[in-house]
Amino acid sequence: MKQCFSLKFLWKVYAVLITISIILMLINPDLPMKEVILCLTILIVFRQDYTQLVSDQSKEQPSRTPHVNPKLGWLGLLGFLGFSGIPCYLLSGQTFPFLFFCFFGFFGFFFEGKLSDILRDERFCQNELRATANASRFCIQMIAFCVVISAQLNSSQFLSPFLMSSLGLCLGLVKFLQPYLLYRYDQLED
Amino acid sequence: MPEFRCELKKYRQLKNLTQEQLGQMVGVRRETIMRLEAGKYNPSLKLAVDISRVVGAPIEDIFIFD
Repeated sequence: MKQCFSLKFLWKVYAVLITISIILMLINPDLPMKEVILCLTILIVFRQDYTQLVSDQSKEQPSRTPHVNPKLGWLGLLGFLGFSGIPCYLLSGQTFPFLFFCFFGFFGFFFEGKLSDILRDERFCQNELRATANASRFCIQMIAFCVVISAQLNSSQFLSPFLMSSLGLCLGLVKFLQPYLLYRYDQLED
Repeated sequence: MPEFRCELKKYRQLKNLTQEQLGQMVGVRRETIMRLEAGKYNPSLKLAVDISRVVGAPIEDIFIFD
């Protein structure tokens, strides 16, 4: 089981690295690749596999949600580093700091922490699927909206920072909305 | 979600079970039993059958569709 998880983890790292590399090369081949790729890979792979890693460690209770420390949600404040893209872009034309907006997704840990160690009964699984579907649908709508807006931009000067910040925000939104909606459906809805 | 009346609370109290105890016996949380009794959650067939067996009442007497 651990070997399978390791292989799956390595495969996921490889797939994310290749995908991000291709996207970034298409957007701006002058980006500092190593820093950005490392940043995004850590965010995407760590964020997805953290909960699975924790659940693998608690094999005696596979039907319960993993224990997540809600204080990890404070890492979402790293998302404000995305605003450092404004001076970076104005001074040196660098747009990669806008991608730091994706760290806003870590705010979702607040809600995952509130849903820690809960029995995954049928109602919880239904709410989980519903939250995932609604979060994905909303984010696809946001991406489509950003694409339409970017197509309307007459000036190519703002296109690259707009696309980078939109990509970062959409990534962060996907990672935040799922646990937030799950918490809302499972705990707050009557 | 189809509207239905749930008489689970009556049958649960006849068996002197709390929501927590009933939930543990059928493999769901107390919150799920609470929403079932309020008619705000539509259970799966398996859950309905398990509840019916635990409280000793027919499904059609527990979940009444108007």
